[in-house]
Amino acid sequence: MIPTLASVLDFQLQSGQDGRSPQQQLLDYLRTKRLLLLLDNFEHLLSPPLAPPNESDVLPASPPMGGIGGGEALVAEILRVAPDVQILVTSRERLHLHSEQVCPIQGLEFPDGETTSPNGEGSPDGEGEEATEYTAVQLFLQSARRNQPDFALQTSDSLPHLAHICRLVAGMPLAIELAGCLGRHVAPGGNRG
Amino acid sequence: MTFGEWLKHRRQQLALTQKELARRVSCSEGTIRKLESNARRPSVQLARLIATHLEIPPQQLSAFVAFARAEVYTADMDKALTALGEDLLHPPPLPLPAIIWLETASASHGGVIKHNLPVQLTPFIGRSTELAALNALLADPNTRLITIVGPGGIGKTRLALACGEQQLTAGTASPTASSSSIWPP
Repeated sequence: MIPTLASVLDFQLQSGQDGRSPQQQLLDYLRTKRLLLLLDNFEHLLSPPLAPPNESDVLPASPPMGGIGGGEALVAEILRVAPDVQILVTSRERLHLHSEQVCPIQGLEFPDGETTSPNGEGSPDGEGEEATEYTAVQLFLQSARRNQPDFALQTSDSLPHLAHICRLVAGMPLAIELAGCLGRHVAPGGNRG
Repeated sequence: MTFGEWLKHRRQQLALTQKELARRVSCSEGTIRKLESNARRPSVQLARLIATHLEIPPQQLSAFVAFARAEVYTADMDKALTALGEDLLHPPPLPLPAIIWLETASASHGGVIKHNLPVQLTPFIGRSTELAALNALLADPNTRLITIVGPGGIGKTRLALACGEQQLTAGTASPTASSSSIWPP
């Protein structure tokens, strides 16, 4: 992770000129920086949890996904020495550091198929304009229109089906985008296979 | 292409036997056989182990796990998943490692903001409350570390990038801490 960080920050690590380790060089570089660092998919860099007893002799020596583990220790060091660096991490698991502000996120908001507006003011016969207040519906339409620019949501027919899709995937954006891309192949009403 | 077909193809590409793959991911040979015949689906944990040993780029892990587990599977979804599987077989060149930085204005740069934020190809949708909360947190210099936590495919990366863009647009984040910057928004 240290060479990667250095290269992304365009910082040249020196090889043992003054005896400072690469980590020390990076920390010294960051010490005076005012930076926002985004570290994506950090779960690969976390120290592995305690391995189940019978797996330790079977798993390869290198940790999964080319990760090195122990990434949270480096983050803690950066925070300690570089007062003007803020770090925004995305991860499936939190880092369990003392100073960490955890922000869990959920799926997008989707209609329940009964009402058509987030405020519950619509009716099952409502117009599509109300349904499109839901971010899940907006994402579905964006994906669908990438393949089919004139794709329109026939509210009274399709909305319950779209709501069904959203509920199946708990509003997960990746799944909604995939479903939206199918607009070319099938209308939402026929999407139940 | 089904996941089973894909798995077999990829395994053979890497010259692995079913037995060897089973050994590496710590499951039985029978499990690999069932996966390849689509008789069963892998757990999230197994799917991730398989991804590791079949050299799936980390950037595609979420998509891969969704593909492997076909969590949103319908007959029609097959086509989209097939396309996704083809992407996995011929992955686009890896982008820079998933580290983005944004150097906010400092005297040494005459107020110029440097960054390596990638350009997003599609508009960002929703998440206005989450973005507002993140921005409020970042405005407080005492907040040093924020972790956006959630399952694969939930939109963590996109939210973080959108937040980075807003920070960029806002220029120097004015250090006006909001007392209401509490998560959840």
